[in-house]
Amino acid sequence: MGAQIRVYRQKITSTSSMKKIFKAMEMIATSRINKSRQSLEAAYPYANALTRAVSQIASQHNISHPLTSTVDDVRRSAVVIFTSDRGLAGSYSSNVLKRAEGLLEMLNSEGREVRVYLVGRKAKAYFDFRRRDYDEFWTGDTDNANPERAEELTERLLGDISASYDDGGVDEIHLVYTAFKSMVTQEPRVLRLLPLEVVDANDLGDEVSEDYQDLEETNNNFEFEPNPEEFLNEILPRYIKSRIYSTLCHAASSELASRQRAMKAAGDNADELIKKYTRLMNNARQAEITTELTEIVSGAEAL
Amino acid sequence: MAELIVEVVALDRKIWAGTAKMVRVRTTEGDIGILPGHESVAGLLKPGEFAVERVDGGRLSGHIDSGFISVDSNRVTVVADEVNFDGQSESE
Repeated sequence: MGAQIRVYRQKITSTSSMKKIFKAMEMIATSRINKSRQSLEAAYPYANALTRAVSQIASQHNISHPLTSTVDDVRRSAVVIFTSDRGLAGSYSSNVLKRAEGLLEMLNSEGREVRVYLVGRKAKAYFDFRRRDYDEFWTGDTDNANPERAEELTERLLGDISASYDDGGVDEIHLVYTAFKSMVTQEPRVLRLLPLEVVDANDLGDEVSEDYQDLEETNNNFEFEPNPEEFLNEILPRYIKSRIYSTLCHAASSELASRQRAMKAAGDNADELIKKYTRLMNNARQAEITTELTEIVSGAEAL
Repeated sequence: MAELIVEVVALDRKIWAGTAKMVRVRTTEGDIGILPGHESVAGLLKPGEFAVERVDGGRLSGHIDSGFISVDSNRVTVVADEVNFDGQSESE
């Protein structure tokens, strides 16, 4: 009879030690998410400055640049998938992967070759498990966007896009990541990074940033030094890098937010389980006492 | 007096923002000084010194590795890949 109580007691102990882990992870995620959101915001000024500069050129000069010209017949696309390194973040990674699967299927059905780049151990594990090919992966530090990672990715992607098809170059690049909208909403999103769609300074959407509205319409004619072509040449790679960096920031913030939510839910569930087991344990104890009493009473009666 | 609204930014952070009387940077074509009312210009920077004369009389100077500057109706944006400040006038 005492066995039942012991079993419940064990369950309670293990659940509460798990609860401690969940709570700790929730707290870590909470404290890091603020930092991550700050770096997301800190990246805006740079992105804004670049967007402004690029669109100013676009509105004044009609320049065709390899990075902005669309290829009619896309033969090979690159897809970069941003997931997390670790699990315990709810459906964060699987949502991105699901979205990526959709994109890959679409690209395949259009008869394009696809080159896959993975960021995060979860994506790598997903592809490894299914024995599917990928071209390169980056792992570690997915919940902490750093400029070096952005630099590496930019270099690789720019190298790919500028190479010719026969040398293994790609015609377009897609990013699949989770956009951080708020603490409660993050949504997997596909962004075509290259070729760039350069927007005119006067009809910028909300694509780049929300605090971009302070941009007054500028009809001033800009003078570019040394000349518009070279200026654009120098600036576009930076623009790409800033896009990639902000993608990394979005992914990191989303990961932390998902993790925080998942851990909060797990902690709450653990609480409920503990309550339930405690009740069951008390029941079992009561039942034991009742049985003992009945035994004694019936024993006394028999005398 | 008109003043310049200056922003110095790097990829992952805003380095400095404030108002200034003059900004001087080194572009690929040579040093340029920007005073209030300067025409709209955008230029690539090459490694060199930069200086910002703040409105309150202070001065901010340092070394920029590469980047670009854009000036548009008294708004100056210096986009830098790497900046080293002289002295400790960095935090503001």
